[in-house]
Amino acid sequence: MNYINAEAAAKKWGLSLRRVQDICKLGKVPGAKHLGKNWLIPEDAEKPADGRRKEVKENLHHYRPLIRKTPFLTMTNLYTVPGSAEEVAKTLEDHPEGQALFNAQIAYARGDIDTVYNYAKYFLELHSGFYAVISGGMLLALCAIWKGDISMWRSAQKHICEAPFMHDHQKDIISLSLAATNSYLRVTQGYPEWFLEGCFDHLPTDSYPTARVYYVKRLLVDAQEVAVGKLKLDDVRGLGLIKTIPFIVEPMITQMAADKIIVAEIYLRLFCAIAYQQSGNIQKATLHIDKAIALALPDKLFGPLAEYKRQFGLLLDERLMLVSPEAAKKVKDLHKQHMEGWTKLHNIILNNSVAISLSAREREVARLVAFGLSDAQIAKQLYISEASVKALVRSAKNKTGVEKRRELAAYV
Amino acid sequence: MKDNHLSPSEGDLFMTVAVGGYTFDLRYGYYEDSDRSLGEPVPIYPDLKKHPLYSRDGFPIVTAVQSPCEYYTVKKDEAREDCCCDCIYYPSMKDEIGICRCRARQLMIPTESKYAQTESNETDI
Repeated sequence: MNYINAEAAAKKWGLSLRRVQDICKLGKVPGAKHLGKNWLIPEDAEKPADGRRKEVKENLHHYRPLIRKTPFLTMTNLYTVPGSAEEVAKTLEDHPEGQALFNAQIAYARGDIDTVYNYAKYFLELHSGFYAVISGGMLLALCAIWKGDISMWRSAQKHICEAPFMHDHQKDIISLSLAATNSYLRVTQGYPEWFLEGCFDHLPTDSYPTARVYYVKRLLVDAQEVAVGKLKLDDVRGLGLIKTIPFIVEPMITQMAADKIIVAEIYLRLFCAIAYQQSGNIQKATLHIDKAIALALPDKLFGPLAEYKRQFGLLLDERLMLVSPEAAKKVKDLHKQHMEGWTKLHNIILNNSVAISLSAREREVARLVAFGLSDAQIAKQLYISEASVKALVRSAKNKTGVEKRRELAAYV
Repeated sequence: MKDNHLSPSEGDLFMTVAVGGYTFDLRYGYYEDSDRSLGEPVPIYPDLKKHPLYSRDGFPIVTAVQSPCEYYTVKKDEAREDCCCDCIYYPSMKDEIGICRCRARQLMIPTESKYAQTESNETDI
């Protein structure tokens, strides 16, 4: 029997490649074989009568997925004019979930973390499908950073891991989302290979602005680690990697400015400014800072400025004071709030020395405690007595110095 | 931290606790035979529910890991740990064994049969 690949079948049947892959997965193509990431389809296979996924239609009454053009954390082409946030929100009145996500992102960009938290809960409690859970999980992770709350952080990661994916590319989004949340704590492991190569094909195109922001953030963190000697790269020393960042980011900024994707542009300009400043080019750093401020000021999007204020030393303060002393004060206050939470969470998560002193069984039990299991449930799962579980939990608490079970989450 | 806390053997001493006139040697071991699958012994706490002991003034001595009684009360707004150690009547979360100060559990007349030892007559449990 002769076989053709999925792309050839897509062309033959007039369907998209993704559709062909989906119907093969559903078993609607007799004789189709799955080989690694590829599908081999019998040459004489006929196009299934209904190439569409009936499951999506049947389950529609159970969830209302976000529309594809809905902004996914870094706003896409809905918010294109500084100062128009409230107007844009009004235009989304017919799509409550889209409006909620937009408002959540505006709230985050303003540093209004309590509002962000309420929206995170809204998405996670709505059970509204993959993108809602991912959005809710990432919003929750951001809240956890600002509040320094390890339980919230773990909960956010759990939600992201358990997002109800239906396609392989959604698994990629889960991996990316987890890595992206970790990047806020300057942890750059866990990114998918394709992302590290700067390839975003696995993502929906309206996520590209977000992907670029995270891509550059990772580059910047790694470059700074190289500069201080914590990360070793062949033939690269000191500021060598930092100096290359503007060459990568400037074209992206041009693209964002042309597409008028404001929040993504603010972040990329801040990253570029950091790279310029740390390379010694204060003039160019100042240009980018001024532009970021000009974009942020009309809708008071001071969150990104507060997040990265520390990296600029006094430079950001000086430029803000020239424009608006009130804004400078607001950014200072938000920065203080962010740093307190960030430092607390960062220290808990990266405190490896205590975790190492836990025995294998203590760590195993501590992990199950972190998942919320009771002593009785843990005993049942591990086939040991409840008294032993209590003793192990007690021992883990003694070694880590925590008093509450939930605090063990930090050490596993 | 002693070396044997990193990889203790069965029978090694975990801690000695003196409270309420008693001295307890807590040693590493296994609560049940099936626990040997753990591969590492755990501190064995005395079963003071099955064999209760009382302080001189009639309050029960309890262990930190003991399952709480019907009077278990946690501090306001705290999550339950479901062990005596975080009850408001337990002296301190850091104590492995302590005296429960719940009035409802105090013996009305502490008898000599319940408080059988003097401080000079140590008992290992």
